[in-house]
Amino acid sequence: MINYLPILALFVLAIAFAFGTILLSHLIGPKNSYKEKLSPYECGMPPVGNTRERFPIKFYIIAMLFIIFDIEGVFMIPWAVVFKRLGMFGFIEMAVFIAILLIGLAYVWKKGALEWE
Amino acid sequence: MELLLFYIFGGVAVLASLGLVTGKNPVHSALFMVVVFFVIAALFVLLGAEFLAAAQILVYAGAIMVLFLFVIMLLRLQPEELRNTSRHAFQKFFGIVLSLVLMAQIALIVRGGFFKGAKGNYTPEVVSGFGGNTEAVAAVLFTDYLFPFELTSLILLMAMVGAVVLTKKELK
Amino acid sequence: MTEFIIIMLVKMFVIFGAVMLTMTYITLAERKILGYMQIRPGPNRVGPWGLLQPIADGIKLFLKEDIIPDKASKVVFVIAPAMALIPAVMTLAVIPFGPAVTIMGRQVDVYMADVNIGILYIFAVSSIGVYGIVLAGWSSESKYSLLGGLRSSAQMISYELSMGFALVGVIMMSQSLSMVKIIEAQKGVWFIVPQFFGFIIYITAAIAELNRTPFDLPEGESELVAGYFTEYSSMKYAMFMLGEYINIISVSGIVTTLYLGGWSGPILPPLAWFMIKLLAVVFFMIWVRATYPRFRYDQLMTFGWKVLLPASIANILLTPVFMKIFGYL
Repeated sequence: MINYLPILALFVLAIAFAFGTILLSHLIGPKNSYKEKLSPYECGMPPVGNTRERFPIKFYIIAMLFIIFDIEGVFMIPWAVVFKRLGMFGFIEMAVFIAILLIGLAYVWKKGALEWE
Repeated sequence: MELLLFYIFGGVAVLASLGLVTGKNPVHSALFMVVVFFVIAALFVLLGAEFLAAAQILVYAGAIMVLFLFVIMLLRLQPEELRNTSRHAFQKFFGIVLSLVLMAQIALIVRGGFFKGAKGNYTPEVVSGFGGNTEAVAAVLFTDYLFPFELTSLILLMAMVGAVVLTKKELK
Repeated sequence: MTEFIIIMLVKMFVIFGAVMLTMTYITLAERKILGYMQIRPGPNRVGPWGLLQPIADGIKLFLKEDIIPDKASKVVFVIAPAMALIPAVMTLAVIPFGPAVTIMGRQVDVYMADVNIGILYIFAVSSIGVYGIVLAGWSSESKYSLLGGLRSSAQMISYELSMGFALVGVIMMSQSLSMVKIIEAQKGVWFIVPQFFGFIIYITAAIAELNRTPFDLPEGESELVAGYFTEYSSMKYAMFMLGEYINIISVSGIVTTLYLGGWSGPILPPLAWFMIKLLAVVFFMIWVRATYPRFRYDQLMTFGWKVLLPASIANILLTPVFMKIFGYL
């Protein structure tokens, strides 16, 4: 597992670098804040309403579809690695798998979940 | 070295899980959960299960938690609604009792030396014979476990249809 | 063991330093190239040809006031920019800049790690990049940030799929996930030839994943101010930019490795070839930015789900045919 040690080291470096720089600039930078500066930006006007509005359901569907296709991807990657060894049978196997999911994509498409207006 | 890393990752996992269940803010809890997924992936790497580690990050941290965050953002719970947790007092009590029981069970099994049996079919030597962890998983998954694999696609299809059916009213 | 750790740390700092330096100058190169493409000189006041401009930018950002809005959810607001940078840096670990070279009598590889799951690692780490954006948008408690964050994350996850599926074609050809083995598999012909469609899909999706023009809607100035990082200032703002530009380098490195034969090439040393190819891809991305107008959001999502995703799946199913044609099967 020694191969993964550099990745761990880089992870530590990345965290140290990111938070170190943020902290340093926080300490160096001038501090001159007042209420208007600290309010959310809204083109110079005082902010209207609040941000706790609900979101279109579309984004939820997109995230859901993403998970499903992501899992499909996770299956396809190991398949691709041994693709030659599995031969024709393996290819048909994956083609069936993909076909079933394409039916799903067609259904979602038909139902208009991919429409953005 | 490996043992030290195991303790570090294990410790982080425990702390992050505690943060996850005790956190008041759902987004903080979600972030703690991401940390838990990461250390679990690190533990998988220590065990030599590299493919599982990557899949864990890709699917759980990269996809499922994103959906969680979307849902948290979608619902936009008001702080008042979040603070009102007193009605969960019973759940809390029950949860603590159940987890203590589970912990006791695990402790009993570990102390009883349950894992002292013969090695399984897939020892590290066999796995490296396949050419690596990913190859081993693939070679077994696409031959011996062909049927469950194809069933997975049906389950995914159902999930896809389900998501659309549940939200159909709002799409129009 | 000690020697291994020392070499590892030295390599890490050298690669990290070199990437940071390259990245700062890519920001300048981008401004210069965009300038010349629009017949204007670009930055040319700080140092000769503006060569000190990136340094001046860095110092300026460091000395700016670090504003944390009143209503922001403070902890997450600080974590978000770091979450945008960390995955970008992490991908550098497996990018193979060059094969082993001899330094002071030791064989040293010019990459940090060659793991068995190379591409999968990159795919996994880049899927984490979405957090910085979601969290920045959520924690700022500003309408522009929230909308920008939501749009941007939906865009990223949509295009990530096509990116991942495009990779499958390459893996089918190389029969390995290791980056070094993928380069070795391209001894004969670069994968850009048999995997041409995959290459087009990958680079399109990568540009979208990086939120760059023509897919830079989340930052569409005219409608969303600056998108998810509207409320950010000082070095926290810089983190998003650092993340974006480091990602440009790593995506170019990945494209070079997967499709352009990596470090292989005649006469020049391998490292030089890798850098030439990498910078050519970077130039291509800047060129695209200078050429194309921005998509509309609905066009963007429709393109991702209805064109790119089916195309990437078709590419997987067609790859055996390409492999037959080019004699891989």
